[in-house]
Amino acid sequence: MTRGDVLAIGLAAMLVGVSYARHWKPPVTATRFEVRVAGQVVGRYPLAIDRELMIDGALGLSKLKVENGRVRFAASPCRNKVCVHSGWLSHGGEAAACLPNRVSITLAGDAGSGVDAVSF
Amino acid sequence: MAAAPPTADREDRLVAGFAALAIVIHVIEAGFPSPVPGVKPGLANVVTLIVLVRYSLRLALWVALLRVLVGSLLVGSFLAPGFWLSLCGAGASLAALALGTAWSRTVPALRLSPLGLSVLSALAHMAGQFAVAYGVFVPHPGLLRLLPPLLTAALLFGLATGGAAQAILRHLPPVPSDDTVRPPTARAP
Repeated sequence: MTRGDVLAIGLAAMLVGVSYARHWKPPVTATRFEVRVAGQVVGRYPLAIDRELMIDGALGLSKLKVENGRVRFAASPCRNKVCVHSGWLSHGGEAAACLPNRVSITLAGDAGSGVDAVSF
Repeated sequence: MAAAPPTADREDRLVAGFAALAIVIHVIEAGFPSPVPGVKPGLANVVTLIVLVRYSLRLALWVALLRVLVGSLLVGSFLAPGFWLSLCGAGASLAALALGTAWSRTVPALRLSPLGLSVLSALAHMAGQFAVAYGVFVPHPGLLRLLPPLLTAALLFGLATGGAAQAILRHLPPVPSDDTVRPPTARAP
């Protein structure tokens, strides 16, 4: 390795560092979420207020829990509990759904949702 | 051409041989799955580097451009987005190599070894590719968030391919200076 190499690699590492400083953002933190039943929006709630919500779905009541800026399905009348296993959601663009009960929640941040996928 | 200097023929064979080698590496590499689009080791660049160091920038240019063209034909991405990304990446990386060699010539005290050249060309490759991806194909600000990890990968893979090129160069015999000695890759009938 020559001194020129050290210089070049140092500059390259600096460039990478600058790119992190300028473009690296943590995933957008969501500020509110939307609840839908059978595709219809039944309510929009802020994530800032801790509470429990009971949403009446096709099978019965789905319990949503809002805590520390996060939201999750706490209980559901469905069989597989996929919604409950989705766990806590806190980033814009995240979503969880209980298909049997036809209840879904979608999170949104102030900065809009992040990228789902990039393909080229 | 009859009027061409005798070295032209030998150069053609060199280009053909090294390009073939680079194309094989390119195609094999294209078969590997990648966790993030745009990230791959770029092992074919080892060939470009070796040609650059042992012969000339002009030959390295030919080898790289032929590799991109024929590689895309074989992989089936000719004129598809991936091809343009590859071409612009190769163009930027060759420009970096040209600048790097010019730098080494003008400032011998700080000359670059294949390692430094490889890092510069890898970053230029990624930057060129990204500029096209962002400017032409996906002008979404979300794409910029991919830039830091992509550049990190480019830096690491640039170091890796540069190291590989250096290791190979150490084991290669000196460049034959006369026309009668043919490179091993062009020996087949």
